[in-house]
Parts: sequence; structure tokens; C-alpha cells
Amino acid sequence: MKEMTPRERVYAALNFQETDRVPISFAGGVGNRIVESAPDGMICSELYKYLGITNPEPIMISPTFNLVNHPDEQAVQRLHSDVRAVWGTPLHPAVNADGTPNIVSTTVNTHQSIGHKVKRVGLYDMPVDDPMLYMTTEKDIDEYPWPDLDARIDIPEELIERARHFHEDTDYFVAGLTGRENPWYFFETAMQRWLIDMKLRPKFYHKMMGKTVERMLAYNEQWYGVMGKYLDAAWVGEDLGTQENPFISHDDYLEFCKPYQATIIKSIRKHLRPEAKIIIHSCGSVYPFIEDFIEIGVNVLNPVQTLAKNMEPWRLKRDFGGRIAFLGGFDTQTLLSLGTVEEVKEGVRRLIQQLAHGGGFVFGTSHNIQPNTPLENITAAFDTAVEYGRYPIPESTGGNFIDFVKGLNLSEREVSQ
Amino acid sequence: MTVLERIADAVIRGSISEVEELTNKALEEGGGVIKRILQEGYAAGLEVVGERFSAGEIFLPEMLMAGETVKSGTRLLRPFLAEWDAQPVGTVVAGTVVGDSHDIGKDLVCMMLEGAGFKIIDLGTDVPADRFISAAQANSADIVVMSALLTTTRIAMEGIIQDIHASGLKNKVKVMVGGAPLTQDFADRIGADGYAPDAALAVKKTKELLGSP
Repeated sequence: MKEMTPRERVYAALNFQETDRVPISFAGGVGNRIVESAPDGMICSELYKYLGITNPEPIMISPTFNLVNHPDEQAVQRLHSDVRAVWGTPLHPAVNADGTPNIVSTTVNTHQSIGHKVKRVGLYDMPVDDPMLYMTTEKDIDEYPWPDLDARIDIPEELIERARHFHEDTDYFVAGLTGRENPWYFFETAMQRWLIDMKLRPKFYHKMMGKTVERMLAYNEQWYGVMGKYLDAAWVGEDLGTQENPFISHDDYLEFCKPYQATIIKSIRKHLRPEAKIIIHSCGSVYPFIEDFIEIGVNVLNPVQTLAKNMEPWRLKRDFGGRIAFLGGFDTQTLLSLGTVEEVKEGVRRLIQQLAHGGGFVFGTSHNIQPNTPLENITAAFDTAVEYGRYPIPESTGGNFIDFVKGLNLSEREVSQ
Repeated sequence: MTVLERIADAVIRGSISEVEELTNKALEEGGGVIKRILQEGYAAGLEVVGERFSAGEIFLPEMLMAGETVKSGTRLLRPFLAEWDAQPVGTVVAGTVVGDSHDIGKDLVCMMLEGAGFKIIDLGTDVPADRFISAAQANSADIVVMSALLTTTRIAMEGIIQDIHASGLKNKVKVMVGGAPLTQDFADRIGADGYAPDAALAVKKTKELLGSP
């Protein structure tokens, strides 16, 4: 088949057509990035050196969790990504001008989160001192000095230019994110509070969610109003799964989550071209909700945490193939971080065998690439995806991806130092 | 159902008001019933909740609500616990290890152990060896329970266990570990006395390690 452009390739795959080869996403959005944590977890810098990238752009990271939203274009190209992300999150340099770690210890005031403090714990800049944890009554919500929803948001010119450039000057598939994809108010309170409020104070829960969604809708109107025309996809987010199970019952999801996400998707849709896609990020064991995602207009599931319960590639393809596409899937929890290069390559082949038939699959990591991941594993994974992912994809030989990964007993190996 | 069985049932259903009402009703029988309320009411209810959670039949909100009911009920009992000289089944020092800020799993283990009658000293997250040690010494702890949720932070557990042993606590304090990247093999390798894959099994394992009923 004639070689497609990245944009053609991704659209075709997401429209369940077989292409020239399986598309690839690195740094295309949530759960698809790499960490840079100075001084002991600078895997992005290490990757740049390993790839022989001279004079890379300074590495800029997210306010929390040390993620490189916009890596150097040379690295993204070298890892064969067909997707380019445009993130609205305000970023800061991972290191100061003199090379010392720029460890954040400040208050974040973004549309992502109001009044969060950030504290370094181990490798990660963590959100702490949940600013709205004190709220327990509807009165508390009423009395809070919420920001003005009509205030003009500031979208940096460089960001608009990034989107315009990728859309008009290149043929990459462009994915947009405001920086707050997830409406859950666990950013403002703690996860435990968000979970128990459904049971303990449901009226409060709905009022708080209403407030968060209101802010997101107002922000989206402006942000997607400007950016939408450049985008081939927009991201939305939830975090419904743990390793073993969903966080909440399906009934609770129907009452407490689904309607809010549906509203957000509708609001974003207005600003996108009709062919553009909605990608949802929801890690962990989210099998029970996938039918609902399809129903509320989600086109693509990410990150596809394949080791989580009921998230085996064969199960997802069997039950949802042709109705929702998958972006991600390559296990970072054990295989990318603890496997040998040969094991990584075999894993890539098996994952592609199980997900790529009939299109509907964009290869990527099952979550962000963490420090201590062997660099040769990263290149092996993406290079093998390019080499092996040519259509027609061979049938599954020798067993499935999950059996292979689990059979390696990788958690008994230690991380490389 | 007896009052105590109804208390367990109300814990399972996550009804704070019923647990409080039934606790007061049970207390009408006099202070001697307190131990039975704790064991046949709260702990029994939490045990069922834990089993259902392990089986994937109920989820975190239900677990957390069950914990809330037991907290509320225990508040009602507090004035009487001192009179009755209620002894905890054992003393637990708990924490998530240094460099790791995950707390939900650790909180669930603390909740389940407290419901089972243990006294809990919860050190929170990002806890280095010396804080585990000083808390264990200061509280004459029977067991130290450590949680790690990252492949990189579980490594710290081995050093912490060595420090605990070196501090003279080796035969005085048991150490149990848990968290998603852990396995029984890993726990054995690093010298832990016990491992549990979830909060419900953590209670069973703790009782087994301490020879409690």
C-alpha cells in the first residue's frame, strides 16, 4: 500500500481501516508521555542523549507529576510518533539556568486546580494540602470565591502557533488538551473525599461536580473556540480503574460520573471538525464502562492498561473492536521497565497481533515512561512497532500478550539503577 | 437478628444512623457488652465488607462508608472504653514508605485493622525508617505495616526492614508489607514477616502473625 501521511494513517486507523502500518503515539496526550524529575529521574534528558539529540529544547514539565508535555520534536520524530499534542497546561523548566533542579514548591492556580500546593515526594512533585478539603456543606460551596466564569482566558500565542503549525505546516495528527481533562473534584479535595461524598453527602457531591464542570465548560468554550479548528482530536479524562477493579460500581458511575462527562464531550464537540475524534483517558480496570464511553461519544480509549483486570487486548478487541479504538496498550508497569530488549520486541509483536487487525489501534505505552526504564527498551518498543506493524498483520502465533508478559514474572526483577 | 447482628448488617450497608442507633440500643445492656459490639458488630461487619471488596463485589465508596460507620459507632463507645479498660487486640504502626505519597490502600488497611480492634498509629506517607522505628518504640508496637505503590519505592522497604531489625526491635516487632508492586516472593526476599495483597487479607495476616484470635 502507498505510504500514508501520519494524519491519514491515524484517521484511517481510528475509522477502523487497515493502513500501511499501525500508527504510533508518543507524547500524544495523557498516559503517553515521559517523566523528567531532577536530579534522580531525568529519563527524558537521558533519552535525548541516547538518541544523539544535540541542542535539545529545554525540558519543560507539568506543575505536578513531572511530565514532559511537549518533548523536543527530534525525539518525538525519532520514536515515530504520528500524533502531536498541544497542551494548555502551564509548564516550567525541569532545571534552573545553572542546571540545578527546579523543584517546585508553590501554589498552583490554574484552571486545572485552584490553590493546590506542590511538594516534592521522592521523584515526583505532588499536589498536597487539598484546598477545598474543608468543604463539607453546600453553604461552604456557596461561600467560596469562585473565579469569574466570563473572565477572558489567556491562551499564549506560542501555543496557538504550535497548533496552527502542526495543522497547517505538517501532516501530523494534532491532539488538543486544555490541561484539565478530568472533571472529578479530587484535584480540589482528596481522592478519598471524592469517593465517599457519593455515599455520605450526595447533594454536596453533585453541587461540587456542578461547580467543576461549570468551570471546565466555560474554559472549554474559549480554549476550544480558538484551538478547535486546528485539532484532529480532543482529550477528555477520568480515572475509573485501579489495578484490580473499578474505583466505583457501575451504578455509581451512571449517577455520579457519566452525565458530567457527556456534557463536557458535547461542549467540546461543537468546536471540532466533524471528522475529529474524542479520546478518553481512563487508566486501570475500566472494562465495565467502555460501553458507556462509546455511548457518550468517545471514539478512542487510552491508555489501555493491559495488565489491569479484564483489560487484556484479546478481550477488548473481542468485545469492543470496531466500535472504539485503542491508543496505548504496551505495558510500562513491568515489560518496558523490567524486560530485556528481546522480551520488549516480542511483546510489541504480540500486542500488535492482538489489537491491530481491522485497524482501531494506535500503538503507545500503557502509561507514562518512568525513570529507571532502560533506554534501549524504549527505542526497541517504538522501532519494533514501526517494523512489525506493517499490514497485513500476521495472525496471533504462540499465545497472547498478557500470558506472555505475566509468564516472564517480571516483578521479581529489580529496576535498573 | 440480634442487635449485634443488626449492627454488623448496618456496617455492611454503610448506614451511619443505624449503626449509631443500634450501638446506643446495645449499650442499654450495660458496659460489659462493649467488647461484643466491637467484635460481633463492627469487626464482623467489616470482615464481610472486606471479603466482598476482595471479590470485586463492592468498591471503594462502600468500603470507606463502612469505615465511617465504625468510626461513628466507636465515637459513641469512647466514654465507656476507658471505664471498661478495653484493651486493643494489638498496636500497629502504619505508613507509606519514604518517597511515596500513595495513601488510599494504607488508609484502608488501617481502617480494617482498627475495626478489628487494633490500636493504629498512622504515620501517613513518605515515612523514612527512623520514623517507623521511633513510633514503634514509643508505642510498644506489635507490628509495623508498610505500604509502597511504586516499583521504585518498594526497593526502600528492604533497607527499612534492616534498620528496624538493627534498632533492637528484631524479635519484638513484626513487619508486614503490601502494595500493588509487591508479591509474596518479594516480601520473603526482603525479610518481611508477612505480606497481604489487600486490606481484608491484611487483617487476617496480622492476626496470624500476632497469634490473635
